[in-house]
Amino acid sequence: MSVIDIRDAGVTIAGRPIVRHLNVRVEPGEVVAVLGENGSGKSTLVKALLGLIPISSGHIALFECDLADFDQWARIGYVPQRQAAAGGVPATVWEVVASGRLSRRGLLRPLGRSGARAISRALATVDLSERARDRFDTLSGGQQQRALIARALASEPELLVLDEPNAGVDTANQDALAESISRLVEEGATVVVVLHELGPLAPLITRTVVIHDGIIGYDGPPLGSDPDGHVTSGHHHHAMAATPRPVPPLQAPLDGRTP
Amino acid sequence: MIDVFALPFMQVALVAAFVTGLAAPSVGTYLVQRRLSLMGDGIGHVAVTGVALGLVTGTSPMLTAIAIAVVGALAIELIRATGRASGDVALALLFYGGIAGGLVLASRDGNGTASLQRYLFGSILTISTADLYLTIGLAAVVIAASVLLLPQLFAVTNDEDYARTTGIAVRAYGILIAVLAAVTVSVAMRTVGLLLVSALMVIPVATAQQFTKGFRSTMLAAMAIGAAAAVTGVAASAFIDAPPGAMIVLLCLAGFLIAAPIGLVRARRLRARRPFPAPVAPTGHLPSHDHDHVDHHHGPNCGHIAIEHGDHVDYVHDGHRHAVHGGHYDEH
Repeated sequence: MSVIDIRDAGVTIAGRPIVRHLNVRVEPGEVVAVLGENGSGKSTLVKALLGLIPISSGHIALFECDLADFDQWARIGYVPQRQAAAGGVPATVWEVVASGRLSRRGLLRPLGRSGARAISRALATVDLSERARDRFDTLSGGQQQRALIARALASEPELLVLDEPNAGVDTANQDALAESISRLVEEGATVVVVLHELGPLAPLITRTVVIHDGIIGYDGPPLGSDPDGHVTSGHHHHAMAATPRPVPPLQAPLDGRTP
Repeated sequence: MIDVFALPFMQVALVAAFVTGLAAPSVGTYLVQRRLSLMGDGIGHVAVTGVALGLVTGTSPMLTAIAIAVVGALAIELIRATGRASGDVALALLFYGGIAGGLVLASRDGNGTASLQRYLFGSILTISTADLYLTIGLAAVVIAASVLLLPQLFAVTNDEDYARTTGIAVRAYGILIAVLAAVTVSVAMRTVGLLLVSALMVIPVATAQQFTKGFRSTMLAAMAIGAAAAVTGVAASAFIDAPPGAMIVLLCLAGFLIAAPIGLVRARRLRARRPFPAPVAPTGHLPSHDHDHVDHHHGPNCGHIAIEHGDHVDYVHDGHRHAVHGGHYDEH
């Protein structure tokens, strides 16, 4: 059984093909890092995967169900990039996290004991239990990011999709974030995480997909990394040779960052 | 003094003011959350055409106002949801088209624009019993939808993309908010008038959030403030013989002016306690020399502001950040 099955998918935005002929299959329990430069199409791919952007060609299936018919949203936890601008009305951390429970909550139904318990557990997983009653916008950037992870966890998902969770987060909070995600991985969650740099998440990654200019540049075991979490070019080229690419790129995927 | 409240039209006016005072801020909370505070005002402009249509055709202006306001609100929602860069220009066209169209239409009626006045600035003392029941019924629907669907509507207005991944019908809830806003504007036009209705939707929310922490508590507090201002405004206008709609809005503003300083002080305190960014790398330490800490030990309840700083706490006083290190304090 596959958790994600992307076949020959393309995304076109305003007439410009951004993602092209992409094939990715993710099995249960995998922890996949999606790497790529800014503008490579990695965030676009994730949004298409969740149905937030329509695909212009190909097929996407989640849990063996075509995305157009998919309705088991509780099985998916999405952690978007942290928004810079908040809404005009304050909200507590608990309220933000509780909105993640909606996929398991019927219309006009109370939260229920299991819902309240899932929210408490999600807050505990990211070490924010004590901030539950505080205003969301008084948290630091890293804490807000952790709260958004808790929101994704509130539905007790099997697949967690994170879009650049480390962006604008200090190193201490990045470590805390990696700690939270490793707890989930131990429980058997499948994780897809879009990253600019591996950072403290490196030890958790079981597979790396490099998107370069909208196509897959590399798909295979995690690339070797130096202590800073930068992908090293040597390992990279070696590994790349082992994997056939659907469309040959004009440039090696990570040329821009080769020292 | 008691006599005034014994008058039937006064009782009707007080009940109408109470229900619109509750309903307007409940929808207003979602508009403020979406940063569409002026949407109520825009719908009010469009509703002018609806009122004029009712006056000319001899049907109930409230019903024609609802119909036209719903169309206008849906147009605004469509422009918002598609996120067009030219959206604000399109809104301007809609607003002024609505008010100009209403004035021209109303001039075809015998009474001309004079009867339109009652709807532009409110005429709560002339509400008929039939209109009162309609007002109560529609306000009840608005309040029920706003309060009972709070989890869904909060998710949609807080983070639309995320809400979509929980499987809820984001587009439908967006339309619902637009329709609720249009109904509220049409109901409240008899109380505060089309030109002032937005104030009753927005100002109580702005006032409430000066002292609330959560979304739900903000909405409930705003509804209480709105109802109190509306009832007090109608009562006060009877005594000083002033237009009730304008009195209600002035009372809302007075409430905000009282609450704002409290909110300002609170915001400053919250800002002062925001965690410092965790240190990226150990920077070596700089023991504190300029203060004598013999008599004072930093700790919980020591009187100084304690702020999270990575894995420890800094105590802030006199422009210094002191962190415990062994038997002394470091400058951080």
